[in-house]
Amino acid sequence: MTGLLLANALFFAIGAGLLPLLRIAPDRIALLERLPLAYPIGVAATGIIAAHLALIDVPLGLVELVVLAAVILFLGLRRVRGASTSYRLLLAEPLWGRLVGAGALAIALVLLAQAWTTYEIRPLLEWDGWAIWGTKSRALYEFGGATGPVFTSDVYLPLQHPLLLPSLDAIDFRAMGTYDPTLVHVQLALLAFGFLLGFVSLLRDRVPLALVGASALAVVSAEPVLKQLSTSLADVPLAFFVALGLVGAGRWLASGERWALVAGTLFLGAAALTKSEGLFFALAALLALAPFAWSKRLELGLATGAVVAIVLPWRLFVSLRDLPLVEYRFRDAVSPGYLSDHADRVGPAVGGLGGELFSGEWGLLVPLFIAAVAAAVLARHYALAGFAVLWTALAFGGLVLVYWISTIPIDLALVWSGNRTIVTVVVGAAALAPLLAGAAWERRATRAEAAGTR
Amino acid sequence: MTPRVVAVWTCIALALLSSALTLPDTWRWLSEQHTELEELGPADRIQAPGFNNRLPVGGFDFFHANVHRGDSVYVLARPGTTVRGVDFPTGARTFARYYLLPAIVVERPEDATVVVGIGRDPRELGLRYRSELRQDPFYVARIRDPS
Repeated sequence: MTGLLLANALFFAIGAGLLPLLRIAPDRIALLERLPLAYPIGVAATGIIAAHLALIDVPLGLVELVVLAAVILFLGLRRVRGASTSYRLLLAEPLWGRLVGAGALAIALVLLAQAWTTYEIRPLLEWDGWAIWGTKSRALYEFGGATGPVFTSDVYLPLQHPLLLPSLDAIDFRAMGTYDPTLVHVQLALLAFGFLLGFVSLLRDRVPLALVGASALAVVSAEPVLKQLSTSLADVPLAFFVALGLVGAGRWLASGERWALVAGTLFLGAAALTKSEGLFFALAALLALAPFAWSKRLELGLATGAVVAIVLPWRLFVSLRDLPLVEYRFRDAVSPGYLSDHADRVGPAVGGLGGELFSGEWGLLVPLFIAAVAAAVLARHYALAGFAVLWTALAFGGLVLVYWISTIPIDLALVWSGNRTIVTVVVGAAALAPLLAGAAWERRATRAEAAGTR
Repeated sequence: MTPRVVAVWTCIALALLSSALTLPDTWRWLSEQHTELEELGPADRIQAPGFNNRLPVGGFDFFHANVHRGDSVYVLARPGTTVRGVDFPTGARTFARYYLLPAIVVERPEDATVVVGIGRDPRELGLRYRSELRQDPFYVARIRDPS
């Protein structure tokens, strides 16, 4: 366990160095205020680096992590400026509102602590957990890279899953000095903790704490989140990265703060390397921004380029080694003939995924998203509302398209994966809720300030 | 109070209500899992993927003790089904991919350094073996050492 915690402390150190390096926190005050973001940033960045290094058989262990953290911290801290501008936006939030928010966050932390104690004794139980993800993690640990048969031979199908999550697990095994398929589940609890840290850090100076805390609790307490996270499948980690990416991108859209886009882009890049559909969700986010951020298209173009650059080595690996995608072919998605021949799959796909979307297990996350969109519209933050609705529609539509072109019988495909693939749509949309509703609150705060009440 | 502010408070109320609806079930599930899983010993936890899918873990432990890093393993399994509905040979081969690492599973017996049998004798394949081990109904037949 000590090794795993040490590895995670180094993820934090790497993130702390990246905050100034990537200009997410350009000066000392910003660095202090955004320091909690260092952990999820560090996890995302280290995961990306480790996944790329795995493609050329270079393993990342504790020694390499220490060197990487030292170099990044050194370079990052050298770039920190001494400016003293406070970025805090004054919000007219009553004390009890702040207490509600802090209380909700405290409950969320207690819930994650409970998840930790369960995860640390939970073995790999679910089929895909060991047959796909556990096998990849263990093979990366055993062989140090992804050029061997486990990642390239048809015997080990499916081969199309990207390597960010197994790479993080492999780092943990190397740090622990052994393959421990039970204890490594703690990394999943830490990913959930990282999501909380990132979520709060990206929102807390723009959105009332009551809204941030209540929304964070609503997301992590939804039954599928911690239940599915415990299986070692990549769906919930993907949802966390996409959600943080959306919040960062949404904040940039609402405020024009470039640092938020940089952070969001990194998370979207990590999402693209977590699961194959991660690239689709990430590009859907950038595409959904385009109509509402046309005047800032250069920054948006750079962000899109960064996501593509992050995922490119993996896509080249897949392409050069001709790794098969067994469940569907992308070209069928643009073939009118194929789509027409399989049009009978659309109804069941929409019905099945829609049923998952409105499942009682999610609590009121979908109504929360709808109410938040309404709040943003009332506050005349049409761009933010439009971005959120467009991303959700693209993400849902994209999932329907994947089930449409899948070669697996539709009923079976939905039973096998419908409740998992929908996680990113629900968590992503719900994560945008505080930003959307906060837009209404922000105006109120501004008016209160103008009236001299603060 | 303007509609905008009402909308914000509605969102906070919805988020809290959502947590109130889901938190008890999530907490209960985590607690039940904890109670159920804390009875497992270290060996049980390693073997759990096999037991959970009703695969013959004892046999795979026998295989694991007799294959090594660098080995290419061909899995010869009896017909049947697993709990996932996949046929038993596929289930056994999938479990071998995970459980026998760092040995590698291969598709054809002629590519193997060792053949493992579950309910089937590797001699059925007509290959020449350097050594044969048997723990009925499990077999390990070595063709050559890993290079």
